[in-house]
Amino acid sequence: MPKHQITYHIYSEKALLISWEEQTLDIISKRTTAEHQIKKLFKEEVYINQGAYSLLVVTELKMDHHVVIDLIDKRLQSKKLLEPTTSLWKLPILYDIEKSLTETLKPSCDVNEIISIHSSSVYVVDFVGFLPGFPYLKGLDSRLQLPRKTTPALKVAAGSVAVSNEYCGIYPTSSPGGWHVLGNCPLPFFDIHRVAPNLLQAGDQVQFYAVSQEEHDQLTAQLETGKVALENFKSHA
Amino acid sequence: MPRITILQAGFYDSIQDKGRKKHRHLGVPCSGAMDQKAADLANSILNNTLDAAVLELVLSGGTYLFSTPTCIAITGAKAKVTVNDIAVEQNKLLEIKSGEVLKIGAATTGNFMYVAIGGGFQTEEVLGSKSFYTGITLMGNLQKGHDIDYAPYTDRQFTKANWKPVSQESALRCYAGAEFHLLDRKQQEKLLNTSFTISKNWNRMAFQLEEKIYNSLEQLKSSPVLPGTVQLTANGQLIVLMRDAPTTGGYPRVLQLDETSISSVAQKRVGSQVDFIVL
Repeated sequence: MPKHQITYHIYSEKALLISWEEQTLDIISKRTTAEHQIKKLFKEEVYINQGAYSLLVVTELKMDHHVVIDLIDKRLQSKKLLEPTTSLWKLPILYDIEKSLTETLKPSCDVNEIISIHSSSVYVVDFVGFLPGFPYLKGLDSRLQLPRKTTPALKVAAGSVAVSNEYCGIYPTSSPGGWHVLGNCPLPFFDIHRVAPNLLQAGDQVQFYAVSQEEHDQLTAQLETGKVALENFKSHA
Repeated sequence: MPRITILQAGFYDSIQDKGRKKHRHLGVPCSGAMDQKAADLANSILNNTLDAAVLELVLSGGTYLFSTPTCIAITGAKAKVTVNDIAVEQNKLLEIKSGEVLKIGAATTGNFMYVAIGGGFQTEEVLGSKSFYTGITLMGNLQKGHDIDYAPYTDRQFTKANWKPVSQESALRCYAGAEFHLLDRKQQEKLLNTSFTISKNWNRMAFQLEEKIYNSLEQLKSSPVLPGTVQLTANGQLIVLMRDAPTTGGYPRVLQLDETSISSVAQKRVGSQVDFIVL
């Protein structure tokens, strides 16, 4: 038996898909380590994005897939797992739960219970996808897991914290979307003018705490004028 | 800075280049010219680098005023093109004088037309690309009254080669998708032996196909996708992802078009047919 089950798929002339079996433990560390090793191998001439149990390697270099697979596999089988340095974010949320959620969850869960369940979990950023800066957060309580809406909403506001299946996500910009909205967080999650446009990185931990409309509005204003720094919401995990 | 002024915008005018491939990890779509072959041709005619930004026009073009002399080349879908009301040819270098007006009509073949300009259009570069994408660049498409800067005129634009329009094929060359092997034999055969019709649902993000394939596959955990990924939805619809597609998706990926075929499918009009050939 190999140390861990990884499969390689020739995705296109310039792309290679690397997948782990579902339920693989420590998947975020494994993906992050793989990303790090592959970037070293390609001397950064490579672009990688992650999914739940896979990552896609894209390069503009001429790729002999089989040679590349062999090189990557040797590295992944021999290198130790990196433990990424991660941050713990405590994020304010103004809860305003959509009917699609309250109607489906009643009578077992009322609004206060939904808030209590959602704000007591510690989430981990699994990966970023769907929209620029949209984080997929793992760790959603099974009682709040339900399929996405059959008809997506035409407009979901920026900062919306929403749930779908096993994930909690945050809409960085306003967009059409099919996730059930729980509330709004006033932090700017994606900003092209920052050195790192994404606020949250894979592996980061996230907790939510409820704020009032007044506190939400005040934070929005303070963040806009720079009176409150984003660092204030972050600590070492 | 020299500039063109949009006197009348086309159906969906935008600035595009090779796209922002380096920011996939942030969830940022590639974007870029839908028909990269045609954009490359337009830049090649002018001796531009292939990453020079071009003006992309969808289905019908508009009217554009030039402030200073320059050279342009128009490629992609065929259309009626005039400069100061005099008909001009596509796929060749055109010299433009100060104050001249370029007018591009409706496409008669294909969907996307490209206007390259000597030295390229000089719009804001965001995350390594000038390609328009709502939410990343200031705007998603150009409107009447907008000005777009372009590089000052130089005579290094001239080339002597004879350029041929980009050829179009109905056969799309593909790699087997990551979930192709999960389809049963009948589904695989149907996928590779059917001529699929381009539906009316197409845009810069994706082209949907008319004919459905019975689908019993489960949805995926969110997984990476690329322009050219062909997804099979729960109700059996095939969706060919294009340049503005998200970076991840949850539908099984049954095929992946090669780079050239992504450009080819971009020019397929509603109702025309395509075949998939696995390499």
